[in-house]
Amino acid sequence: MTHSEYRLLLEKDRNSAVRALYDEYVNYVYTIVFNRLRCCGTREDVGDCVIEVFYEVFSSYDESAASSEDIKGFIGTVAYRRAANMYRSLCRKNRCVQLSDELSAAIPSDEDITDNAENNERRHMLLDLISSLGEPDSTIIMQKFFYGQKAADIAEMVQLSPMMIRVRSSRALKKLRKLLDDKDITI
Amino acid sequence: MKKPDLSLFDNADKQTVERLAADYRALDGREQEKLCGRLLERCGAAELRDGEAQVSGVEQYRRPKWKIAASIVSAAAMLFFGTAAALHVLRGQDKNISPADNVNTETVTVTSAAEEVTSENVTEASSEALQKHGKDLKEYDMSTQKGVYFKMLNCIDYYDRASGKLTESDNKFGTVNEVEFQTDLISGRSYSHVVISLLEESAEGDTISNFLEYSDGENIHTYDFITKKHDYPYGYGTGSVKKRAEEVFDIPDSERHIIDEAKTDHWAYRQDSTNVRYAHDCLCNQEMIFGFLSDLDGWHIEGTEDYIGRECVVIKGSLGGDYGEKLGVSDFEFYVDSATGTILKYIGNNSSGECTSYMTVHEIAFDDEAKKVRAILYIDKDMTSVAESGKLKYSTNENGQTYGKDSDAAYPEDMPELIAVIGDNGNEGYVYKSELFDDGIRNPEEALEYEKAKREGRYEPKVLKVYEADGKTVIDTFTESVN
Repeated sequence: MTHSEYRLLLEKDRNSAVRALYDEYVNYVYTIVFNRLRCCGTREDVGDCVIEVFYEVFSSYDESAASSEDIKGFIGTVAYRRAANMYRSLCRKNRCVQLSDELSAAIPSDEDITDNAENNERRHMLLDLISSLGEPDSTIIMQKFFYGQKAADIAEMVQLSPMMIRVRSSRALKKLRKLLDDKDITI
Repeated sequence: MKKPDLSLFDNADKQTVERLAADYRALDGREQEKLCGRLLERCGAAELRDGEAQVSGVEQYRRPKWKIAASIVSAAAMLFFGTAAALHVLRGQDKNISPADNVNTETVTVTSAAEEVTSENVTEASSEALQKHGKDLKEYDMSTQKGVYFKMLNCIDYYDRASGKLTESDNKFGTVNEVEFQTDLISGRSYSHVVISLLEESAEGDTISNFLEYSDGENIHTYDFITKKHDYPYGYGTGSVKKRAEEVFDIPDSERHIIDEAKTDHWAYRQDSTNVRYAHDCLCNQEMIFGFLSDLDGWHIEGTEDYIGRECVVIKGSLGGDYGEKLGVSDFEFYVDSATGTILKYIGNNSSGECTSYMTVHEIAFDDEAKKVRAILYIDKDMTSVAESGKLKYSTNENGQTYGKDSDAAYPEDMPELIAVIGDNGNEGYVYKSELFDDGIRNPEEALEYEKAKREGRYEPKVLKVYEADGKTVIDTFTESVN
């Protein structure tokens, strides 16, 4: 959605604009937030943060400040910032502040950069391998082992029975492990 | 096996997050709607606070109730229409399955050639289609390829009811399905009992599913014997049953497969009113017929053969291209029932001659010879225990007569001999089924007279004796309800 499209919707009906923007970007925002909070928060925390992201987008929207026509960049920035704030707040609450993580932003070192680059490469490779399993196996693997969804919920997403999800996930996992072994990656 | 740890994706770089967001759904529809509701609430609450902030001094500003109500209605309407639109799109997608997902083809459901659909002409077209079904059923020449091909595509016109048993392999999932089915295309009622086992041995056991899938004429339900759970099957919902009378538009044979100027294939699917998806390959698999047989050069008629007591046309052919590759099939064989065009046997082999998929019907019957569709009764309020109508055991009195409620049976023949009623004086007892259902009509003239007498108010309702469960002791009378 572009800024001008959103502005037009806002002029007509605020509620419709809210709904349209939410429908288009909820998966994007949720992915960003989940990605940041997965290790320290619950799905409830992720949901709260997603609501705050959209609320901030709606309440602080200023078209004059838009630097590009696509609104996605603005939403992504709000989402990353809100998720980072929530992460810090959760870590404080859980008393599990990761010093290395906090410091890494302030005192970057050559070693971190190398690690990051390597990790990024491994992530992309892992994503490629999961994608190579084909559908619905790749979705089943991601939903089960990353998003932590139950078999019944995945079943609804991919239109299979929960029993088939269990069968397919164990087979797909076996296949993925073999592919990872070939690339010398362990998960 | 140890669970994999995908924490590598945690706090990932932007590029990875973008890919994750583009390729995978992070939340399901229900969660998405739930969050949206909370978000709308959050926005609404903020609006209230804004209102309060603008007022000062004398009295606290309250947002008018009508405005709050209007917001709620508006939000609910948006949610409703949004969901309805999504469902509509999803249902539309379900209906149009191309025979080959990977092939450069496009599937269309032909509605009408540039005809605007209104409720008026839908009704007319519907009755037209019914009349046509009864009067102008095409006689296809089953010795020709086109005759066989089109009869197979239109096989649902050649039976009203069907019942049978089949076994099929599903190589996509690595399973074997054992299916018992019964269907009635007129009423939309259907029954299938499905047992799914793994093709290869597994530590999880051979049988992975054992369930009923049935239609009560309005909705399709499932009952899982393993989890003892009643549900709508995945991808179906309320009102998902299709009936033959609802098929509005007739699709001419010449328009079933069209190739447009851009060389894109268009496949026109007719409504499948069988409502038994696990017997789909036998009773109405248009996708399979298009995929295997639309290229008449790829197959030939081998001859006719008797199979499970029915005359069948035997077809053999080879399958190439993306569709064959997708199914892992290069040679195939079909046994097509001459009378109905249904598929009674299918074997698909790969290029090494190994069987990669099959479907074998063990028994089948159509129309009057077909078994009636079994009704499923839940014998407890939590719907965790089922009994099939006809198999339900009624109590028996000392004279060997069964007695109980007629509502527990789907058909008169399944009902007990003594049917529970409440007599004219409020006494609970039983009347004889033979007396209750005997209207004394023996010929069409008597039937007409009966109808006329009822219309004119001259009909004298029957008065039956109400007995104890022993079928002998009279305790009351039961006056037949004319309405």
